[in-house]
Amino acid sequence: MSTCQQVARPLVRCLRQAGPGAATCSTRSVAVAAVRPFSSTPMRKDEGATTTTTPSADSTTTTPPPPPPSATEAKSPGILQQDRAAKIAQIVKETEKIKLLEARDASEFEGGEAAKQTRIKSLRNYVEELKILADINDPEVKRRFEDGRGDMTKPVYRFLAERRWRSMDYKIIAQRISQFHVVPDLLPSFDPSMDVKLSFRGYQVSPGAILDSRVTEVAPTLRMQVFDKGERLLTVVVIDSDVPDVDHDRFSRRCHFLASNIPWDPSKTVLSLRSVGDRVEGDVGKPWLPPFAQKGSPYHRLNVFVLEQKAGAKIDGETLRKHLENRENFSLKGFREKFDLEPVGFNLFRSEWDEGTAEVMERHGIPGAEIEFKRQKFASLKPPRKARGWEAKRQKPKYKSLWKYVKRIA
Amino acid sequence: MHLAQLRQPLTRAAANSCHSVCRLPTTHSSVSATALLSEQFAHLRIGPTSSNVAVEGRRYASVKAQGAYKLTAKKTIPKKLGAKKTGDQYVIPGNIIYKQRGTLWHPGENTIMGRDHTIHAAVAGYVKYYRDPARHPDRQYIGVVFNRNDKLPYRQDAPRKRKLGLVAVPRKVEDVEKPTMSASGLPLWVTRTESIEIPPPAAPAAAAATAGKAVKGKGARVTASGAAAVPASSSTISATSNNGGNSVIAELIKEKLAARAEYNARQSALRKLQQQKMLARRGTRVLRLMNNYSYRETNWEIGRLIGDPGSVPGTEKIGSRKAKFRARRRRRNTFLLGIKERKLAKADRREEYRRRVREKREQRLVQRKEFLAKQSQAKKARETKEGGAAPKAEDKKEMKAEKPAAPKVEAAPKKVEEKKVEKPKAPEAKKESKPAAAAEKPKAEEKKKDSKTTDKKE
Repeated sequence: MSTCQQVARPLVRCLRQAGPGAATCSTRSVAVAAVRPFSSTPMRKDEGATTTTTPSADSTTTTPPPPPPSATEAKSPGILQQDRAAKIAQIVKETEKIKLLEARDASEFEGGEAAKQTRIKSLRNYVEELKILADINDPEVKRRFEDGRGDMTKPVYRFLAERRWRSMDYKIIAQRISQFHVVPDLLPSFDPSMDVKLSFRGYQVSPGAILDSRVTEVAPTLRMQVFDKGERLLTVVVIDSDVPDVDHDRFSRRCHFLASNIPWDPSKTVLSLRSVGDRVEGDVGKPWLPPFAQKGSPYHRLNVFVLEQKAGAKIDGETLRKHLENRENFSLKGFREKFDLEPVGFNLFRSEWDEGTAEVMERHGIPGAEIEFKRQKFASLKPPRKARGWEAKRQKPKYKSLWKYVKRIA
Repeated sequence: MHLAQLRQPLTRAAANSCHSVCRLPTTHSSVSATALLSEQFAHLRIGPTSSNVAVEGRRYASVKAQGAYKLTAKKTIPKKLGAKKTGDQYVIPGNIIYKQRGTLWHPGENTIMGRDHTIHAAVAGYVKYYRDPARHPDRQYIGVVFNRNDKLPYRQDAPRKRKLGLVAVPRKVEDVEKPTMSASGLPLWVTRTESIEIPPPAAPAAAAATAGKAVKGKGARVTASGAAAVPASSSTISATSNNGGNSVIAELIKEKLAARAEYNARQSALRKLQQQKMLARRGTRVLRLMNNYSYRETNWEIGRLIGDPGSVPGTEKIGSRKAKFRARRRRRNTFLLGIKERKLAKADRREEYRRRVREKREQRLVQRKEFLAKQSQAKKARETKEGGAAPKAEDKKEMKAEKPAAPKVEAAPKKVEEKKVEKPKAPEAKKESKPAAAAEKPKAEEKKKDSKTTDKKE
């Protein structure tokens, strides 16, 4: 095939398709494309006669009912609709099966109660999968999700959201966890399972960015998205893992923020740390302390951890305060063990000494701005060398006569 | 070779001498003597002996063979590669631990690899040579540990062992004053404020004057500024309002007009102030001394004149999908907000109207009461004059008191009836909408099912 043929190929194919009979169809699609130039998702109408209107699981609540389908459309349900109907039938079947299983006695199973529970659990997982599969092909669902109007209480949208998060954001966070040594330093092992994004003063910051101390003076806003259903209580901790400790010649940790018992579910997205305990429900263990890095200290990693509390287990505010008498030497591992928490979300930013740090520290009454860190100096391992050279030679008493011409060196 | 050639005359000479010495024995004995001598000479022989006969046929090199190939080149500089510190030896930061070509050893814990693959210590501690199969199966590493007894590699899930390696000293506060003059004695920047002729607020003043003239006949003061003129005009209106007619409404209208005029005046004043500020900002230019001794505005300052400093002109994506969404949302929100505000305003107005009506009714009731009281008093006066007609008047009073209550009772059932009459319409409407929804029904059922199942699970 010559180059010009190659070039003309799509055009030729298009013309061939839009031959006699199909001309009207092509013009319509062109018109539709003109009306909606900025969407990558096909509209329902674009699907053509093969698919009739397939309302997604949530269309009843949010959109007005679609116009009545014509007689021909009503007669022949499209592929998508058929598939959906099959999936729903399957769901009904499986739920009935689960009910039957639950009704049966555990002794009937070979492995006893445990086997029964695993069987039920696997069936439930299958039902969840079917729920996703029933709606995943609906263009309306895809469109709604892309427009950010997906209802996160529905499994399909949660699935789509998780898939999107895993595609890039998760990878970045996982990389930050390993390359900033968050994993051995703060936790022995950790794999995040929810999306946490940081924004200061309305601006989202990329994970691991070095931020100005004046920007981080106010508490950030977290954009959090969980991908599993149900309500749960969350704890948010911000830890500085690089606090210089000169007395012990080591780095210690400091808690910059801690709040517990924050109710959260998939439909919630934004949590302003400033409003916790005020407009948002939750117990503040430690209010926001602006991160600061004294001059000369290497960058401080400010780790934002979101921990999930055990189902229904509220942390008592008084015990929390007692546990956190001091911000210094905060151990995430110990905190986690004491209150039985599971780390689920993570984000990170860094802070360094800058022009605004001294002011910020003064404004918040933080001591230590007048200190600067310098490199520790080590004495050389080599023995001191004798002075050499013309002058050094003539320092000896042998050359006493020349001393008036020689520069005296120590 | 020479020795071999020499040997024959020597043996000959020796044989002759021997012959001369031992003439007495027989010839036989002389032969045995020569054999003995040759044996003795064999001991004296320097050349190849019977012991290394195999090398007898050796060929000698015909080219230069004086160890030229074996000798190392003496002109190269020794590279002095290899380990400079042994295991467990104490090092300080920067010490060379190993010099190498390529990476025979890799940098491990607390070590740095230099440009030529030399391995240096990064901290003060003890050198350890080790392997780390978790990091790489074949590589060998050099590390430095803080405690001599530590073993490398460390456990992977344990926190890293780090030392601060810093000392705290008082911070030097650098109070660097920005120089205002360059080295050549020229000011580094010049601020130029353009004197912009802001036109005096002539037009509004004239309008106010005309307005003043219009109401002058009714006793208004003529004021200079439009904003100050407004209250004066309102006062004039209130002064003239007691003429009669529907006085309350007229007053309300006038109040409203006054408020509107005041608002407009305030808005225009604000706008003017903003304009002035903007002009001042645009007029003020900071010219900075450039390298070529010219004064010029910086590019960013020029760019700032175009828009607000937050957005860099030309960087925003205009045609992006998200931008379109944002714009649409903003438009819709403003539209909805407008509707809301209008509704609220309308509700306020209605409330206001109702309040006024209520007040009026109360007034009327009071008036009527007064009127009735007057009448009754008059009647009483008349009856006292006539005598004995008092009870009748009391009855009438009671009747009147009851009357307003009665129609209310009657009105309530009427309303109910009306509702009843209206009700049958609704099902019809539903019927009409049903066939449209009929096609939807199966889907709706599915939905229900789905929602049921989801409800159970959620």
